[in-house]
Amino acid sequence: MSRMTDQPLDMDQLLRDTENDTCGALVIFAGVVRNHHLGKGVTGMRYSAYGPMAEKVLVDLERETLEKFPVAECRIVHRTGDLAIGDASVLVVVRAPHRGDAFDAARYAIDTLKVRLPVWKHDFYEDGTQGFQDGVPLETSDVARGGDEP
Amino acid sequence: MLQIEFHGVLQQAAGGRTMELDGVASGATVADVLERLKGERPALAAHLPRVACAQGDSLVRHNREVDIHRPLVLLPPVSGGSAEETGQP
Repeated sequence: MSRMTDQPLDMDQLLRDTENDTCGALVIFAGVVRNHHLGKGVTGMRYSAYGPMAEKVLVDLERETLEKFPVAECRIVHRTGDLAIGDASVLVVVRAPHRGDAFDAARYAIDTLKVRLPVWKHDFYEDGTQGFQDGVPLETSDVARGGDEP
Repeated sequence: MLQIEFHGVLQQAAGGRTMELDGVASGATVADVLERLKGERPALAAHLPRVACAQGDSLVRHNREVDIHRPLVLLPPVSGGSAEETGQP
């Protein structure tokens, strides 16, 4: 299953894919499109991505999360295209023997995704305007490097 | 001829999704190419300090040599994930 998709995210499929009888904890994080941004009403959102890198980032992040925390399963999927209010844009599923580890790992996965995944949000506002949301510079940008390279 | 690929807000600033840059010498770095782009597309200049670059599925640091046979992909600050953790009120 591709981790980047322009189709509605399939929670049931993720749960089937991560079934693990050694785990007593299942943590699911779902990011959904909300109806406001910086005080303006939002009617919808378009997500775009740099596909070749995005897929690799998610595969690597799943592996990293599994290595960093005592969890047994980690899957992450992200949607692109036009989303309506309430649609899920991202799902993180973590299963672990114990709940504390599962919460920690899921938090780490979504927080790290937000600074590594090459995805951009384009908002459509109630007043008819639209625009890209600002975000976090990736690590090779001048700002992220703090000017430490020539 | 080096193909440049733009994403996110950079597409608006560049006036398109891609462009081709003539005369990029073998051995040119990412920083060299970005400097050229300031002249070619002045509207990009304000964005470039916050831009990361990639070729294929990997990031390329600004002091590294560009493979002129593959597109250089310009990536503005990212905003994936959920809406509720933007750090905004």
